[in-house]
Amino acid sequence: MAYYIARRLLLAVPTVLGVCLFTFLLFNIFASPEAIARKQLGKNPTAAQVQTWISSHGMDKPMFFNFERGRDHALHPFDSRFWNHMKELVLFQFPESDYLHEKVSSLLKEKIVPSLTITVPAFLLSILITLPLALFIAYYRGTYLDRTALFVCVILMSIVVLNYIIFGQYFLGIVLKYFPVYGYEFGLGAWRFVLLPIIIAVASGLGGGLRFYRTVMLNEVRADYVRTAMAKGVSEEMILFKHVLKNAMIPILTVTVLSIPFLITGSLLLEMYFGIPGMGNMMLNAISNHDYPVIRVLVYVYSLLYIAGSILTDISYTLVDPRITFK
Amino acid sequence: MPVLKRFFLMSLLCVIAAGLFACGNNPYPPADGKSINYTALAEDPRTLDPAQVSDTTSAEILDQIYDSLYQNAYLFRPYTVEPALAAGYPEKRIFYEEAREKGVTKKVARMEYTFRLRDDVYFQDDPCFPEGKGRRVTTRDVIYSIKRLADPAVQSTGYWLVAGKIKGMDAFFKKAAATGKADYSLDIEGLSAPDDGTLKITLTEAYPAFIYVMSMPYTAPVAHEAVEYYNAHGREGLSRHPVGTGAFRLKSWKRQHRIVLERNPTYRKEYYPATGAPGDREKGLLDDAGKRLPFVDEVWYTVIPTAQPMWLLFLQGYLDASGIPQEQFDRVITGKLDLSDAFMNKGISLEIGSDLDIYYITFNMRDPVLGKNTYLRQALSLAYDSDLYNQIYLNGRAINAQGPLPPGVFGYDPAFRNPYKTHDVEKAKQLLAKAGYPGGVDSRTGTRLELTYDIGSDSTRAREAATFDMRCFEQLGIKMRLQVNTFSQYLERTMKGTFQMTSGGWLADYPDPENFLQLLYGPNKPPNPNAASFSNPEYDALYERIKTMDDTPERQVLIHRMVAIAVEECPWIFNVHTPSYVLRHSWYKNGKNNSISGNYKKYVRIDVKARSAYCEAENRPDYKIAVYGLILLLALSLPAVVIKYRRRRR
Repeated sequence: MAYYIARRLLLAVPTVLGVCLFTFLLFNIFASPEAIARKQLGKNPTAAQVQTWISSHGMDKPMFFNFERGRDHALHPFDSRFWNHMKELVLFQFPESDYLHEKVSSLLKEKIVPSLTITVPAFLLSILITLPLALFIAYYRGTYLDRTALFVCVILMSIVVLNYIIFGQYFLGIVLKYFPVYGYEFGLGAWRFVLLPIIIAVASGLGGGLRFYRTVMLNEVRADYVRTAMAKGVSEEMILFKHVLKNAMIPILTVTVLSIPFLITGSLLLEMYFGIPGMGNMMLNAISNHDYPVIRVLVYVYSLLYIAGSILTDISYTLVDPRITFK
Repeated sequence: MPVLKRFFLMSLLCVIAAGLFACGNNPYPPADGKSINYTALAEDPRTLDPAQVSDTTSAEILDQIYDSLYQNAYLFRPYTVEPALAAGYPEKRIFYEEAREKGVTKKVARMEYTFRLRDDVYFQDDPCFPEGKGRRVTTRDVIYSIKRLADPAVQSTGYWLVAGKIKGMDAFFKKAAATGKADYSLDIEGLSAPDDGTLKITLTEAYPAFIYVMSMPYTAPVAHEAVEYYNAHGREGLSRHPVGTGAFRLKSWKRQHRIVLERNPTYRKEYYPATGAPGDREKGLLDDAGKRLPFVDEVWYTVIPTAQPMWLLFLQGYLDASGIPQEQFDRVITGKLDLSDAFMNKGISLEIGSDLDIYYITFNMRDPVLGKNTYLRQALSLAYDSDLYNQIYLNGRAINAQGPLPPGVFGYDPAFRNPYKTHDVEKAKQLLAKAGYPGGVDSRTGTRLELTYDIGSDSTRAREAATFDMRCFEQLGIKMRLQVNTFSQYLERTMKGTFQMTSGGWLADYPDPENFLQLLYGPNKPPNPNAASFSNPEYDALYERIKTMDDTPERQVLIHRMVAIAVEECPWIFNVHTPSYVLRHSWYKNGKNNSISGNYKKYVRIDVKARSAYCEAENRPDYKIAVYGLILLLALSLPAVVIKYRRRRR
């Protein structure tokens, strides 16, 4: 297993470097240093100020290799925009946000916990609710219960997330007055504010989740071993939870384990509408304020998380299916 | 335990738990008897370093924490400045001295301001000072703040306010730029502090609007101890730890969440004004005259970037004041632009204030087609329908702009009517023919005139507004092409002047006409704010004169002439000025609209009892529906039980 993981990690290196190169080209082709400087320096910066800003951010350096002699009269070929960008990302020496004048690393630390307070419970609750429900629906396939459930699922899937949010805020917050419609409290007090977003996150994912898990279970429920178990008089609960669920784990794990690393990236819409000061909110702000250092760090972090997710998924297969081995 | 039973039990537990957990919708912890003003911010402040402020949100917070030498008089309109940290208005002296400019020695006028500082001003208590006690403010702190504007390491957004204006400032900046960091021990020729309470500033020319510069957070005194302490390695920086002299100090700040300001216990003795604008007494705005400021113990700013939750919190009574979301406007405001009965019955009041702004369509005067053809620009202006734009996009609340100056600024003439803003398509067609494009076709080449309209965003709103603008022009038979840019591309195109038409807007930095008229001053062409690259020798000469004048009748005449030139030359289509509509609950006292952001929170008083009564009545949870919901859930689960029962019997 160690050899396999090491190989996967090595294979991930060119992917990560590719992402770094891509983000570098993207931000250096579509935005000139002067445009970035003027955006960050407010309404009326002087030409000298713009120039100073550009040089203080190293944006006046050559793009790939520096063949000019520095102040120490020595050559520093790698003191260029590209290599400095790569160094910052690869060595996790994240730069300062242009807009907020703070280190991106400290912003990341501040935002991860609020995001997790929504995504982790919502993720776990979704699994706890949708999996048993999907098992039952699959077991009672063909009955009016199954058809009704499918009909409801399609309706739930057809409603866009924003409508769940607006309706949830209005109905549960304003009409019934059960939950705060907006806000957050750091520490243990957070539970009051995350309940409604969690309910909405679970409800909005219910239709799609049920349909997916039902399809996965249906393939298993029709298998011969289920018929044999039923013939032997094994109880329905035993068949569903001990045999069917175990055999249907591969596709379930593919979806669930891959999404675990992304729990820390938060939910953009939920965070924005409920005032959760998390990663999704941070990404949105960085985009709207053209805060390029934050955007490129987030793109880099997301790519690392994706790779981590895919490796974790592969490892998890061996845990549920002994036939799978690492080569 | 059978799984179905387990499932039902779990559902039941979930509902009960939700019911138990749902402990009301109040988003705030108990106030513990404090008087708190709950307010909203549309976005997180960018910085709380006064040298770096450039957005209105940061200025809103900074103005409460940092006082400057002057402030906008809270109740007076049009806006006027009054002393804040200064002991009275400055003494002004104009003198002449010989100076070499472009190799020629000539006599130039200089202006010397002498400011005197109050002797009871202290920095807020903070760990950066010995024993945490804020020290007395001196005029050297003001000099230090001004020097910070020229420090490349600070990345100030306010250097333009003093660049070229204070004698010796540019030389100081040049030296600092060469090393990447300012040397604060170096003197600036035009800045001196003869004693702790006196500040002399020599300007390179007479510039009366400089007093507005001294009322902005850029020039608010900053303690060097705070900069050194918080900018030290491993600390978060002054931008997160403001230490000012204002009525409030920072208690906590969680990014993208909430900022809490608390009363500054060492705030100087300042009292609510006893005089105001006409009508203020009748509105109860002078009821607190002579009382010590500030009134509230804390101000809670919650960051709410979307309109829906902000509006819901206001209706629940959890925000003391609010704007009106566009989609709610017709529900809240009647056809006569009054507040609807439903809101009046809740004790909510409406204030319509004039914002000092202008929105316009810019013609690029460097463009070979538009720049040299005044008739063409006038024709396009006549074809434009600002009233319809106002109805569609601004709920009819905006004012049709007639010139570059908004109402509320010295020199604005309410009687003036722009002859090219009458939305007369027939007249526009006549002018277009005069311009050489009868029916929108070039009379020399026979080809249809095609113009490009640039926008700097791909948002639906930007596309819609641009489409509206283009439709107006297409009525003349002109072909319009939309150029959608990324923000950076857009900035490049406007800087290089490679566009034909685009839209723009300006919100006043300070309430002086010069701040608006500079937008069409020739030497301010891109990358400076004159995006139209408009240049008219008479206009430029007049601008240079009004810039150095006080608000006198003579200045007014010159401003009117400048407006007339701008209107006739038509480098812009003057579109609208947007007044702000503010709703306030009955417990919000002394509220008055301030479009030039200032330290207004200290004047606000909250009737805490009235708010508690409203919130209690509006926010009582209704648990009956939860019980009905539970019954419904159980009823819906019944078929599953039946199926299960039948299968088991089989």
